[in-house]
Amino acid sequence: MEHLVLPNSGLTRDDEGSKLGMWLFLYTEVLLFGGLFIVYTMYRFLYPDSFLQGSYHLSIPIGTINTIVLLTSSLTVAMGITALQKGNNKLAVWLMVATIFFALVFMVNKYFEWSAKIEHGLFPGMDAYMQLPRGETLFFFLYFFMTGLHALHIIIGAVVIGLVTMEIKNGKQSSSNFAYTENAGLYWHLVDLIWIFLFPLFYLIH
Amino acid sequence: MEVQKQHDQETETHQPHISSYRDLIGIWIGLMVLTLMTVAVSVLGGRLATMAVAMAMFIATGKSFIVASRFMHVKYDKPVFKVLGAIVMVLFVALLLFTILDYATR
Repeated sequence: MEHLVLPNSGLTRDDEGSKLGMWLFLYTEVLLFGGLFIVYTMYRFLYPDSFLQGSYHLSIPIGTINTIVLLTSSLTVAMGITALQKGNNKLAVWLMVATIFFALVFMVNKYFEWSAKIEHGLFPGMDAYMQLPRGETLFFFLYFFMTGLHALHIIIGAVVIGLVTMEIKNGKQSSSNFAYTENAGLYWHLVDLIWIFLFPLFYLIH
Repeated sequence: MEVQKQHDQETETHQPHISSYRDLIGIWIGLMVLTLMTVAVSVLGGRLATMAVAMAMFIATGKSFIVASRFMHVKYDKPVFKVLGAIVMVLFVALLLFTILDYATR
């Protein structure tokens, strides 16, 4: 990480710079979700009872399980980076595969959650949704939009970690060159971080 | 030769910090406990609804600090990463606060 790219130093990469670039991107992600959190705050302020009613439709056990799954996936990706830095590439690959597995578990839970809501017609535009009071339509709109955008990030993160895993496997990422893996890890942790706020705000209102 | 040795020593001291497995697992256990606490506050503290929201947000903020500093390694990074993160946080909180003030005083 501490490499300074100086002329004639023989180094053709700047790990510190690429990490800074990754963080700048993550700040824009924070503001993307941050804007949505502000919308959420204002509508909850205007329709507190509807948001409470809406949250009764969500399952706390499923939300809790998904929180635990994501936190554990954050652990496996962090341990994977440690393994890579220590030169234990084989373990690193397995920990990355475990991370992708947890991402899949999260998405399967999400699938069952969403399909149950859609069966009840609660997706924006469906019959039951259109008959809800205004505050509840806002709750479900935000629920689908924010968890949907988050799920999209899970899919992208899992794909990126898949690509990193192949790089580790064919030796392109190693104990002396791990910036790509570290940046993928940063992205994954951010996705976890956003869920840390989504979970109490949507599931734990009651 | 001497210069090379000195250079080696310098790069030695600039070795990146590697989080130990033990530390990472300890952090994970801490995050798990905080998650169960949030759920407990929400499910059991139903009567203190507003308090439950404040508690849940307080715990979530604490969890995100732990994730950022330890899992995302900011604690061991150069000061620039801490400063930039702090600026983004202050900007977001200001945006949130002024929007709330606007609605609350209408």
